[in-house]
Amino acid sequence: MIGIGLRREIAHDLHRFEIQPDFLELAPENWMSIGGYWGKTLKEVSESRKLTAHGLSLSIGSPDPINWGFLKEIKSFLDEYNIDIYSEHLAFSTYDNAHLYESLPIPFTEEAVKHVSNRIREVQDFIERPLIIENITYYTVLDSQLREVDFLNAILAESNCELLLDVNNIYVNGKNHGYDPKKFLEEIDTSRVSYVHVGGHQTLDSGLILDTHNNLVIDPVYELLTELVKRINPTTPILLERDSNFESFAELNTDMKRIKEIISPELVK
Amino acid sequence: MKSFIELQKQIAEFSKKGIKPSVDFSNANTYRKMVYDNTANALNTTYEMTKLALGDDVWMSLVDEFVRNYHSDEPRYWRMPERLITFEEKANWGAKHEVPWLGESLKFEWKLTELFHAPDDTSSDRDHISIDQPAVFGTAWKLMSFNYPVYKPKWTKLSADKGSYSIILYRDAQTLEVKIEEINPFLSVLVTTLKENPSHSIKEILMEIMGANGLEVNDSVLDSTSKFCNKLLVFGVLK
Repeated sequence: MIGIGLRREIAHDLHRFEIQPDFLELAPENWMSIGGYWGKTLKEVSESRKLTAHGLSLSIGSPDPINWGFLKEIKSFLDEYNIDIYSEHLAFSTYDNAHLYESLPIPFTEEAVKHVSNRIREVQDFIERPLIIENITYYTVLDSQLREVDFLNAILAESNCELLLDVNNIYVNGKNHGYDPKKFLEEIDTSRVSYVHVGGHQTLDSGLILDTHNNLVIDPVYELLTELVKRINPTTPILLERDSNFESFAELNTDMKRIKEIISPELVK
Repeated sequence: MKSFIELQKQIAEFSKKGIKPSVDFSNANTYRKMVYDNTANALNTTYEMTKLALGDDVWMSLVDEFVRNYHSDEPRYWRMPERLITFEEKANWGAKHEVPWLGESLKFEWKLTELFHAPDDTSSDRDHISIDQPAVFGTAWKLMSFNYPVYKPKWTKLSADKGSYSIILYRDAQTLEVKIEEINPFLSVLVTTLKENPSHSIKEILMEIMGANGLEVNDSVLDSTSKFCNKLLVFGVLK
């Protein structure tokens, strides 16, 4: 299954995809409890396609208490639209009970593993479905007591949760922090992967690569995806992440076609 | 070794407020820029008219101050700009910077966004409003009163514009766009009183307001009130 993010810029242009998305991913925070034009749009698209949810504001890595009221709203929304896949960033986005509206990294420490794992278990019990955790891009390392891959594997094991593996993030982090993305892929517990993200990025003049989701996916990322699909369940949903720069639908179609070629080449002419 | 809580505090405070961390985080400025840009982008989009009226320099100084100091417990990003209203009020920002209309302008533009996204109302089964019955209000509308005509696209921002302005903002049930209806002070009082007295008929409320002002209710007043209420029915303000 291949999906695309439900962005307002393209919500009414889905017919322009040459390879039609099997599912649409949305950020529940942007769509829950709204009516009017976008509420109507959501109802319409949900009638023709399956939805997945990729949260922005849970702040699973924060020292702040979990916002159970907000999570209750999320759960109602997931139930209303029959959404099974709910993923979140392995990050923190609140501090001092205030939102930063950005995903910031968690220190790679044993202490953080315990803290985050406890919270993942609590959230999973509450929402009555898996909480799928995504490997984020990080531009600074707060503490490297553990390697990133060991930190991730430890959380997966301790919380018994599933993994949203973003292959572009593996590439970006590998380049930014000097590790081999292919080795990361060999070491991560791929048996936990239940959802995959693929996206484009942008390299700054300084050489730092930002996970911007506004460009074509590059070949080395597709090579990682090719390796990954050999290791995971073939029905695992794969999402093309695109957050901006929608002017060229040709780019979106190119990326969708390339993903399709990787997961089911026999179906692509 | 610092606890993970302390480390997160340091990167968060640097990203939001620019407080220099005691640990040397590489590329920390990237987070500072991302946090700033995310906040500024949401404000720029929500308050397009206010930004234009203030001019870029004043607007950016407001945004800079807001990013450093605001505290938002709102998980929904699109609703975050509402916090600029309380920030402006608490900081008395408009008065301090000689833009007395700032608060009203922010409130007006936020309400445009909020009404556009408001949850859907149950539809009305009435095609006519009788003023002998109580008014039943819908949900996707708002009566607003201003001292400055901040809702007019090309208002002058001169003190000569200071006055008393009332509008009804409503989401058109057909187009789902938010529209503006200017109303006079009397109708503003009528709508407010109707809302506050849901068990009284429209006519009773009308007579009460007119009586309190020493005015007579004649057929012409009843007719124009009926027309006004039926216009509100078309707008979805009444149902």
